[in-house]
Amino acid sequence: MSETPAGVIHDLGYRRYDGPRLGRAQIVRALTWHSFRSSFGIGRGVKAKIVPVLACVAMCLPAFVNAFGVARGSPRLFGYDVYVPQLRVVVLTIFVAAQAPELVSRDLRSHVLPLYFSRPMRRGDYPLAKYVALTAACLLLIEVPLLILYVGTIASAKNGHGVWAETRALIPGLGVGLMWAVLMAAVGLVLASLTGRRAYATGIVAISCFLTWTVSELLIQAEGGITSASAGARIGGLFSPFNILDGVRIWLGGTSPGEDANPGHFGPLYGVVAVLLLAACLGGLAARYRKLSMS
Amino acid sequence: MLSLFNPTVAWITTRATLGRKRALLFAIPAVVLIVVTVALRASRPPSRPWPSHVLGTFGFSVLLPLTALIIGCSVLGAEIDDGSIIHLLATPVRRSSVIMTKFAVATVLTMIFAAVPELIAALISGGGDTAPVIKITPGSPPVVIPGTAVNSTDFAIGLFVGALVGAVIYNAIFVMVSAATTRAIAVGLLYVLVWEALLSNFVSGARLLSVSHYCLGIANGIAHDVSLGAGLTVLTSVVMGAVVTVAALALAVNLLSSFTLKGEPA
Repeated sequence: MSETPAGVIHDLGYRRYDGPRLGRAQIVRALTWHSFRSSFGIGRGVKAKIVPVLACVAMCLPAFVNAFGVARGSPRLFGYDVYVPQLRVVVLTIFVAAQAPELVSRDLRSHVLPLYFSRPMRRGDYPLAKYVALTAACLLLIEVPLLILYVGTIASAKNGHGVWAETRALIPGLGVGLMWAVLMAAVGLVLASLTGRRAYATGIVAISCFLTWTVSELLIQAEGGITSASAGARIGGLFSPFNILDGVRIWLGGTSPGEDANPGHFGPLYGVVAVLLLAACLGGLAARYRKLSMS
Repeated sequence: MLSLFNPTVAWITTRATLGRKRALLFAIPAVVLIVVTVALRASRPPSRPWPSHVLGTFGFSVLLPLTALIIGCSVLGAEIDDGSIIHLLATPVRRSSVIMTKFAVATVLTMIFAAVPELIAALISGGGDTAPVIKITPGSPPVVIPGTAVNSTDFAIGLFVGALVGAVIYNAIFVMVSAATTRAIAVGLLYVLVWEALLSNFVSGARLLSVSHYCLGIANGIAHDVSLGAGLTVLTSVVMGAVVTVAALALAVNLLSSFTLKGEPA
C-alpha cells in the first residue's frame, strides 16, 4: 500500500484490497460505461427499461415501414436528415427527460458524490463521463433507425448507382444525428442536474424542451410556415434547441423540408447560437459539479 | 356536500403549493403565452388566423395541460413524495374529502395560472378574422371572399370558458394519476406529449378521448371560429368531459382508500 497516492481514501475500513489500482482513466471509463448502460436501463429492473425500449421501438418503426414500402416499389419514404421530424423531437424529448435524471439526479439524491470524489478522480471527470454516456445513448437512438432505413432501402436497390446515391444521402443524415445527440445530451444533463428529485428533473427537462419547441413552431407557423421568407419566420426557430439544430442543418446545405423556414442570411446566426448554447450547457454542467457541496 | 370539502386541508394544500420556489414555475407557461401574443399582435394585423392557433392549439394542448400537470401533481404528489401524507391520512378526514378538497384547490389555482392568462391573451389578440377563402371557377377570375370578423368578446369568453372547463378535467386526471403512481409527473408528461399534443391532432379518432378537444369544442360553441379546428360538438364535449372528470375522481378516491405508503421512489 506504499504506492497509494496521498489524499485518496482507499481503506474505508472494510475488507482489504491488495490488487492493482487502475487509476483515473479507468475510473472515468468505467463510470461512462456504467452510465451508458443505465441510460438504456440495462442492469436495472424492468421498470427502468420501459421508456428506453418504447423510445427505440417508436424511432425504428418508420424505418421498418419504409423497408416494406420500398420492397413493394415505392421510393424511400423518409429523408435521412429529417427522418419524421415531429416524431424524432417528441421521442428524443421523452428519452432525454426520462434518462438524464436517471444519470445525474439519483446520485445527487442519494448523496453518493462524496464517494465518487474520494477516488482519484477530478471534479470535471464526473460530468464528462455522464455527458459522453448520454451523448452515446442519444446517438444510438438517432442513428440506428437511420441505418435501418438505409439497409431497408438498399436491400431493394436495383444497381450499384442506387446504392451509391443512398450512401451519399445517408452521410449528412448521420452528421445531423451527431449534432442532435451532442446538443440535446448537454441540454438535458444541465437541466437535470439542477435537482436531485427525479420527478421534478424530468418535468424541468421535458417542459423546457417541449414548451420552447411549440413556441418556435407556433412563431414559424404564424409568420407564414416553413416556405415563408419573412424575417419573422427565419428567426422563429431560434427559440428552441430542436429548431436551432434544424436551422443549422438548412444553413449547412440541407434541402429537405424540415421544421424551420430557410434561415437565409440568418444562417450563421443559427450556427453561432447552437455553439453558444452547447458551450453554456457544458459550462453550466462543469460549474454545477465544481461548486457542489459535499453533503 | 360540506363533508366533501375540508377547509383546513384546503388551506394547508394552498400554502404548501404556493409557498415554495416551485410556484414560480406555474407562471412560466402563462408568461410565454402572453409574450408571444403581444409580440405577434405588435408585428402584424389581426387578420390571419393566428389568434386561434396560439390560443387554441398552444393554449389548450400545451399551456393548460402543463400548468394543470405541475399543479395537479403537486397538490397530492408532493405530500406522497415526502411521506407526510401519512399524517393527513391518519386523521379522521374522509379519503373522498381529501381528494375532493385537493382537486378543488388545484382547479382554482390552474384557473388563476392558466385560464385567466388565456382570457388576457385573447383580449390582447383582438379576436382576428377567419381565413379568407379564394374561390376559383374555371373561365372566370378568382373570387376572394374576405374572412368574417370573429366577435372579439365572444372569442375571448369562449376561450376562457373552454380553459375553465379544461382546468377541471385536467386536474381530475392528474390528481388521479398522482394517487395511482409515485412517478406522476413522468406519466402525466407522457400523456400530455404523446396523447394530447401528438396523437389527438393527427389521428381523428383520438379526439373523442382528448381533453384538449373537449375544451376546443366548448370554446368553439361560444366563439364560433372555424380556425380553432374543433372536431367535437358542444354536447359531445360536455358529456365526455363530465364522464372523464367523474370517472377520474371516483378512481382517485378508490385508489387513495386503499393507499399504502411505498418506499422512496427515486
